[in-house]
Amino acid sequence: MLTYIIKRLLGMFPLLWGIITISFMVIHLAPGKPSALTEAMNPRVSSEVRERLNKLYGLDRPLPIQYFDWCRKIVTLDFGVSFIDGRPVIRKIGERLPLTVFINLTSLFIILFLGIIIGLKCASQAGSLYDHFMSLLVFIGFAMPGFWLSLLLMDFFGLKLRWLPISGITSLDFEYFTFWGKAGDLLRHLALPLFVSCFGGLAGISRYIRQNTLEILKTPYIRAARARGLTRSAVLIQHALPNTLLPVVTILGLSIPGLIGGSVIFESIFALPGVGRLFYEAVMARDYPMIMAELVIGAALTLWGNFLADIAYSYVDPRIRYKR
Amino acid sequence: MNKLLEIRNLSIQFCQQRQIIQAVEKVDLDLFEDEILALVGESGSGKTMTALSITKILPQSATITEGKVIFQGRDLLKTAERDLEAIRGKEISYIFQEAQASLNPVLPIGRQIQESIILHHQAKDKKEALSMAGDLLELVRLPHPQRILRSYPHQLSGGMNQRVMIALGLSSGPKLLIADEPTSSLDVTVEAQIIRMLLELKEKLRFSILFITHNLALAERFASRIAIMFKGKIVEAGLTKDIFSAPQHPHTRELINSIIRI
Repeated sequence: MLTYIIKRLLGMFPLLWGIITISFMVIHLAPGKPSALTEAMNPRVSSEVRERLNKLYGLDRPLPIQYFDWCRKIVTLDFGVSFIDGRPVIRKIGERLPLTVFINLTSLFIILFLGIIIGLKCASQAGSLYDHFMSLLVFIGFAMPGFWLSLLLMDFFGLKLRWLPISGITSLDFEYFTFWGKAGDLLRHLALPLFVSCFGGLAGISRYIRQNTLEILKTPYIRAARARGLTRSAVLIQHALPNTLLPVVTILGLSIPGLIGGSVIFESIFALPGVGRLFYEAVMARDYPMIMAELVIGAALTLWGNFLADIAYSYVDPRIRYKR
Repeated sequence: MNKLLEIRNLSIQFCQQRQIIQAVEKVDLDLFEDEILALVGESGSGKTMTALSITKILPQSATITEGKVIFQGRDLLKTAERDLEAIRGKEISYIFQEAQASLNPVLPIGRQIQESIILHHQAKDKKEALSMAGDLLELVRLPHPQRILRSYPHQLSGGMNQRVMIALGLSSGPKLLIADEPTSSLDVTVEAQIIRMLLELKEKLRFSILFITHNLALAERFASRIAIMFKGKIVEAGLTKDIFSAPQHPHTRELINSIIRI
């Protein structure tokens, strides 16, 4: 097991390097430069000014040198400063992180909790009215584009009914609220984004759990458990559920990068100051250090997530645990 | 001898690819207290379906269309699900062909036995149940019971898993043990050990066995009476020695001839 872990960890380095290199190349191949934004706003900017800007950003040097310089910094976890306001990239991400992590963790928790319950119930009553109704609902959730649903909900709850605010995370007079007032205000702002991010994800998980449980309910050990006198619900929860949950560990691992990456689309729609929107703004402004940092962190987390999922899986499944 | 189980006129159908198949047709079967009855037939003859219908644990595609299953004076087919749950594993236990597949792969052996003991109120707490589980493993002659309690099914051999299944089946002192091809996936020496052990346990604990097999030679060694099943019907039933000395039905003769040829 230990050798396996070490092997996997060592294998991550070349992969990470490949990802860093490719993202560097892709970004520099894309048309447009950070200085272009300043120029576009002012037609009278001379080529002299443009060169001064390029020099300031270090973009006048040959690409290989920029590349090696950047690699050298990455190794020491130095992601540089943002082109937009000159503040360290890491600090800018750090500011945005709590909100994104909070939204994604909460929705992941809700999705798993409801998804497992819905999936189990559908599987145990496969073919029933409840099962068909849930299947329909779940397919609607799966097929509905998140941004469109967001806009519909904003229109209905925000503009027609005026129950919920449609953007940001706090009201203008937030500072004057009591503690509970503040919490309520935050919740009201987060209600719609949370709902949208749960609705789509719920579809996948509940279908997955349903399918998995149906397969498990056909196995001999379920029949044997019934033959020993366990009730249907005891069989479902004590014997089927632990087996159903095994693959969910993998899903958890794979969702780690998403927890921190955030969603570009709905953070932008709801104007939430999260990591996703930071990325969107960075792309629009061609803020190279920012884009690169987010790409590298995302890639590293994906690799970590995969790795953790594998380790956790082999830990929870005794058949694998005792083999390595 | 008193009748323990009386099956009358039992018919089972199941649906497969929109076709209705008659799996069991008007089966009558009697099982007395403290006896071993072998239900012998080729695969697909309806033996397992008959066995599963006794406590109504048939797969969803199968339905019992008519008949009675009278166990200790009570028709189990008319008994409510809740009362059946109290009978399954307590009065009537099953052991199946694939022992390893019949044990939950992610739960330790000890937990699965403990669960059964507590379910049928044989122990007052988990600790007592676990120590009873250890005793049961000793009863089925498994070495190092404490270690096996902590093991998972995939860590044991087929024979060991079948012993665990037997321990599970006997955990609450059943009146009837239904053994559905319990040794078919084991090799011959292990098969002999398991059969011998079942006979000894039966003498010690006094229960009846409904022994389901396709192996007539094994049935001869093991059972006092034999019922031959063919295409969903019982074609012949009687004392083992009568069946062998004067087989009535052509299928019985075929089965006997196939033993001698081996």
